[in-house]
Amino acid sequence: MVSPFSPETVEIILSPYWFYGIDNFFDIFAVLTTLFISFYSYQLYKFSKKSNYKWFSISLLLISLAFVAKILTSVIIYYPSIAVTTLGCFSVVYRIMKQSNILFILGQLSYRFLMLTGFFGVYWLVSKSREKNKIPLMLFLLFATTILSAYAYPAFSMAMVILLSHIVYYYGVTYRKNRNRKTALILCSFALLLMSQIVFIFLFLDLSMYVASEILQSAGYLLLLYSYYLIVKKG
Amino acid sequence: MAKKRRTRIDIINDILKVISDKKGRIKQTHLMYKVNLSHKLMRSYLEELISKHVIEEVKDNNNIYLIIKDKGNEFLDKCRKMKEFQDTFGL
Repeated sequence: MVSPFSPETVEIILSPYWFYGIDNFFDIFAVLTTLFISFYSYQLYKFSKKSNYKWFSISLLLISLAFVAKILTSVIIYYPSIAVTTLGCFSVVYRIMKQSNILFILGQLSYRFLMLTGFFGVYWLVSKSREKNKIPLMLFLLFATTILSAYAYPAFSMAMVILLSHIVYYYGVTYRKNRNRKTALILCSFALLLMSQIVFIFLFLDLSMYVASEILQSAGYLLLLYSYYLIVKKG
Repeated sequence: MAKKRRTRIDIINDILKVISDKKGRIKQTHLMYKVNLSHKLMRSYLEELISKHVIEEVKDNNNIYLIIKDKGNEFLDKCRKMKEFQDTFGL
């Protein structure tokens, strides 16, 4: 995972060297989890025609696409484009910086905006908000946060912390009402995602915080997948 | 607090659940009272469900019974999972 940077600077990787590429496996797991639940929710929408299932499916699909953007961005950074040209008896190897910079910026911004929008969708549904006229404003603020995070990376994590805190709160309220064990699992999974974003804010202290954040995040998605399995299993 | 209006799926689920709770077999009049539908509306739903082989009508000693079929049980299972998903994710 890489911090934002100005166009002419070197890309800074915030992951420890030994973790390069390993985080991609965690992200692939998150992609699959969110895709499974998104697909199932869409099937329920086709069955019942209740729009909540459609919007939930779209929200999770956005999160899934966010992780895909993150994986592709990592590929650009971890496996840079190399060009070789020959000048007489010399071979010059250089990295194609400009192209990878543009792709990197697009990938980073896509990841952050899609992630924020996806979790905003989840928040909107679980909070049962009726103020649809506020959605354009909220989306604009999320977009502004995404742009801001290009200059100050904690802005993204802070926005995620705020969104996830609200989601955790509303799942707490839901659990208190229904006392459903699976709701408790969902509550814990979002709590783990919240913790991962809090840890990510402290990346400036030590790069190992990135590893801790990824592990917490994966644990959150693992719990989410387990909850989904408990619902769809036969019997 | 005003009760939420039932959707079409909710009504079909209620019909099938009542039949299933009565060990898969019920008289039409009993069903009408249990599900709280008018005769006309009940009849339209039953015709649809019979045409789709979800339930069937059988005559027994001058009484007409409604019996739930395998497709009906599958529908009930799907509705149960849908409700579980809705309750779990707080939708």
